[in-house]
Amino acid sequence: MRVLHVTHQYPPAIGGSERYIADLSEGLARRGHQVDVFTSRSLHYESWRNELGPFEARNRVNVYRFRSVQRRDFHWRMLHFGARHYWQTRARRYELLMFLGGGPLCPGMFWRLLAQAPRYDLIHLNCLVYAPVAYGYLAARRRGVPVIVTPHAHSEQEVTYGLGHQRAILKGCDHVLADTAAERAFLIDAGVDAWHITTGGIGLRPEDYPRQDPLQARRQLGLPEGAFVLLFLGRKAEYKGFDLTLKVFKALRPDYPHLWLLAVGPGTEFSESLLAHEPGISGFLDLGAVPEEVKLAALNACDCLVLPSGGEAFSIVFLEAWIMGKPVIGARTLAVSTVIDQGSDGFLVAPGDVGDLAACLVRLLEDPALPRRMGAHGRAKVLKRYTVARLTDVVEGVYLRVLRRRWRESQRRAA
Amino acid sequence: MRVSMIAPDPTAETTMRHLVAQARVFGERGDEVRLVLDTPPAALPDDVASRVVSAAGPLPPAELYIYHCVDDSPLLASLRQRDTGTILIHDHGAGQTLYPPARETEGGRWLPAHFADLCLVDDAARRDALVHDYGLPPERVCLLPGVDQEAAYRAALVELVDQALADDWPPVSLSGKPLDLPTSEIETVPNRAALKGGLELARSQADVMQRDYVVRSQIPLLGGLLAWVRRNLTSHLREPYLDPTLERQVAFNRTVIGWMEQAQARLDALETQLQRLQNQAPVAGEDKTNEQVSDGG
Repeated sequence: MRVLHVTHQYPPAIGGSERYIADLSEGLARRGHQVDVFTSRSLHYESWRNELGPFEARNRVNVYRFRSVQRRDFHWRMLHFGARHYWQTRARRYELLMFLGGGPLCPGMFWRLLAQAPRYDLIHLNCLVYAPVAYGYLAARRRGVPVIVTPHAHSEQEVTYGLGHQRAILKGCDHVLADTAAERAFLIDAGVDAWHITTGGIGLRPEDYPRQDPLQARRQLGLPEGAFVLLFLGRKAEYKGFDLTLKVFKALRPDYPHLWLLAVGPGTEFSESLLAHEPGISGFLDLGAVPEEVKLAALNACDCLVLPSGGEAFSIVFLEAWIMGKPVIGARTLAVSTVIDQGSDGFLVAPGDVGDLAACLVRLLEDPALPRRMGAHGRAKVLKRYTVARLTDVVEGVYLRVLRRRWRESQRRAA
Repeated sequence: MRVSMIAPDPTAETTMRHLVAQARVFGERGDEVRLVLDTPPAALPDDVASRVVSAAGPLPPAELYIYHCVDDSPLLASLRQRDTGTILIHDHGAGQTLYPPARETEGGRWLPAHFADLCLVDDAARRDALVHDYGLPPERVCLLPGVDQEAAYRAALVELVDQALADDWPPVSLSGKPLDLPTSEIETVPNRAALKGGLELARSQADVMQRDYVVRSQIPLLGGLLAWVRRNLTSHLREPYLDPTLERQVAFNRTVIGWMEQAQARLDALETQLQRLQNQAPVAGEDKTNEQVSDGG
């Protein structure tokens, strides 16, 4: 197959949706498909600054990068003004302001799409909230090429799927790939035909997560060997539930003196002000933003991952913990509750509920075999459902189904 | 219509029975049926044996391909390249390919159901495994009646195939499981329709936001300005406080209904199993009676 992926950014730009499309592109290219990517030259969505070159062959994938209009203050103001009025009025004029303020606007990409779309068997659009999906969709429709979208929609954030043109794209595409069963459910609720939406999920490469001796990892990080280590992995933003984790840790520590809390991930103003009021918490180790190998050591060293975040679309860190054989605790939000199997590979707690989180931790602390058992279930689940190879299978299958449906339509027209 | 039925290993008795039944269903409809078999079994009836073609060359082109799934083979792998026609994969318990072991790297075993337009299964446990363990959309995994229930089997197969060929699928509600069971069985379970209707009503009412509400003014000329002022006078309350609170309520409502629908689906599966066991009970009783008679004789 000849496939074109259209995305706002592509690695080396960092982010979940960037990683998703890169894993998928490389997975398909390894299987012998011709995969081209159209993207911006940017590394940062805040500015859409043109920092990368126009072409790169990256792990068998041809990446074409286009200049984008840089995002300046007035773009942000336009976006915020549009957003403020759009949700109240649903007027299309505000939608246009959001589209222009959101970006990245790459006129060259649009013209190239119009010119070259027929060279491809199908076009796959990534991340609905960004502008390239809209002009990629227009070009594909204009040239009659089958089009598939992975929206990465958050049910809690309507801006990721609820604008008029976004809804039109979701309903007009040949197929939609959802990240979770919950996302699939609410997109069906939003009017997408259930027969044209598949749960693709997110994939890890198990070989990127070598398991090492937990004791060695603890020595490397300066943690006591006999501790029960709780890992908070992620930005320490308010919605991620860092304050909740810290509160529960401090409440349990007097009764369980071997309990440690290891925090890994960049700090925020919120976490800095929180920690400034509580200096020298016993048993708490904050590593801040760390390189990949330290993150892997932290995952190896811990006994359980905690991320009671109220606003996650998927939380790839759960998969990272599971692949290391560790149980997880997450908040019972729409998306996360379809990822964690309660009591089997982790626990779901009510968002913001200190007592609920504490009760789950006590169960893990009191039964030393439970974390190992849950971690083993989680690892088996990742290997079964959440590998890059499996994601590539699902997407490749969707591509073939879309092409076959097009073929059937052409046969019916001919008849 | 040309139908190619592909079975890398047709020697298992279940595979044989399905191949024969399906070849006859399509043959009687006037379709051009071909059976692509790696090793044609000797026990095939004459009317079906005459339709066997060699698996050595390329697959004969067809509008409908039915893969009878067993262990990985080049014949099965051909479905990964098929971009024309309609593909059904039929798992009837003869092999384990639908349930590959967890794999660590690229190149391991794969799940054929991901590449098919529709997956047919013979029992609810397999269907649940595909949906819950491997994430297949429930609509695309269809439970067929047993091959010995000839009329029901034929009707369900023909209906599914016609829908697949025409891309004419019934609308799906979130708790809907089309073609799970013959309609008569569904109707024997009391209150199921009422429960589903109630859940659908609850789902439609889960969103308590008045999303279509727009501040307007009927006053000529100044109306637009007045509406704008009113919107901006209330936005400091709506944006940071009222809207997020109500959105949380909507999310909660949807979560609860999602759980209720899952519970309903589980209940449906259990009822199906119960119905099947009840259907089997008299047969088991008869068997026992026969055994006693033969023992006595």
